[in-house]
Amino acid sequence: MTACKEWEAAISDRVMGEVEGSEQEAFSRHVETCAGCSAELAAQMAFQASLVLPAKPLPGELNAWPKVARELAPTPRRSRSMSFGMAGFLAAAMLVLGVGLGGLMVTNSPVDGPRLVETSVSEEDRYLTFLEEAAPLLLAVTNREVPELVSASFLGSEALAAEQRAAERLADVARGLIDQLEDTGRDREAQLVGELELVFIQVANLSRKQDAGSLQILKAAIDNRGLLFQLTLEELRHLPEPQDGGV
Amino acid sequence: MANSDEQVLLSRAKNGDRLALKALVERHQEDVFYLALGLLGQRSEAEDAMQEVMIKAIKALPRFRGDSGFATWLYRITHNTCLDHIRRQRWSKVTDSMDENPGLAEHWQTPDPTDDPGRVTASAELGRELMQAMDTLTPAERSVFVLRQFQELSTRETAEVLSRAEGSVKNLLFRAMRKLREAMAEFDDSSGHREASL
Repeated sequence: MTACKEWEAAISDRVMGEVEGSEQEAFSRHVETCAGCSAELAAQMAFQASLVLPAKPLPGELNAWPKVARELAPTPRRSRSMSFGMAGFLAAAMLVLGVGLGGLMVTNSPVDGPRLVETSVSEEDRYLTFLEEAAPLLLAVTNREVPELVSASFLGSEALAAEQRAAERLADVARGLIDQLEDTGRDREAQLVGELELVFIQVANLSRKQDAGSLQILKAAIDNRGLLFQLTLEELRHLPEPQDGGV
Repeated sequence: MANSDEQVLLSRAKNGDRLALKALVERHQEDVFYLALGLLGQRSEAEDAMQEVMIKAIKALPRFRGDSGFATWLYRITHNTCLDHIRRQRWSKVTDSMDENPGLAEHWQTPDPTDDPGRVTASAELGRELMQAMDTLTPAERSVFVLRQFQELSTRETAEVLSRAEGSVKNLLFRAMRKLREAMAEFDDSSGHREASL
């Protein structure tokens, strides 16, 4: 026994709690005498009551803005060549080139909508901010022990996902920064940022089915290149000079 | 949040105010994500769609005249963006890959910590079944179901997002609910048969 075609919309309204209006009054009279509509209404009401919907995202769980800001920023010029291998891997992983998150503002373009443009945040500030943000992520990767890496709870976990998002963002920042550093002849700094960029791209691209092997290789690469040591050294080199009267 | 507050934000955003743009994105990102999750079924795809929608919306902001509400306009962009994703990837892949990709099944209604574990598991199972059942819907039925049930939009708002008549929205919801109910009853029958044969 099926519901009457002409009353389907009324059943839908009733199930969704819309019970006002003359049509609903007419439907109430109809349903008293129509077994098909009565059965369908009861079945849909029961189904509605049993529906289990997905949880809404928690406050702070999503953060679309950094990527949106980067996408809207003007694309920086790319001139450098790859300093070492994995060009194919990088090409595949390369997203839209971005500038650092720090110091973005917006101007209005009548054609393309509001666009973000770079402000005058200095290259030095960008470099130091990058190092500051890179250090904890590198530490997080190198400090992981094998049992944790292979555990099902870690692979695909929010902790790893958060690290991957941070790595993706830092890789984007690195690309803009390398061009700036090379343009001003700071090749040593550009090389360090380039190596960190590769590490971050690899972290960002770890698949959920990643076995411990790739992470182990990554840890070894960070170790072999002395990246943490270089990074700490750079931070020390760029510490501000003590001011007069400083302790 | 008051509508006038949103108007002020929109006006500032159209003039290129970075903070206003950021505030608009942050205010609407959860709703956009949740709608995309319902339409696409996978969290990672929904996040990508959310980013894409926000970028499209900001670029198109100067053309937003306010004929509909900003949220309605954003939902329309989300819906069209998700349909593009679906056209590229086909509906069937959504549930085929659920075991490998945390989508709706992982994101199912957060259980109360005091719930007993058996009930929580049953809830997650129901979620998976509904997700699979949603795969039997046509794109139009699925869109109406998600907008009405997930986003809790009214018939009028749903009609506005989808550019359909209200009567059409009601009929599509009726069909969607009936199909889902029948599909889930079949799952119950087949799982009952499986259990019986063990």
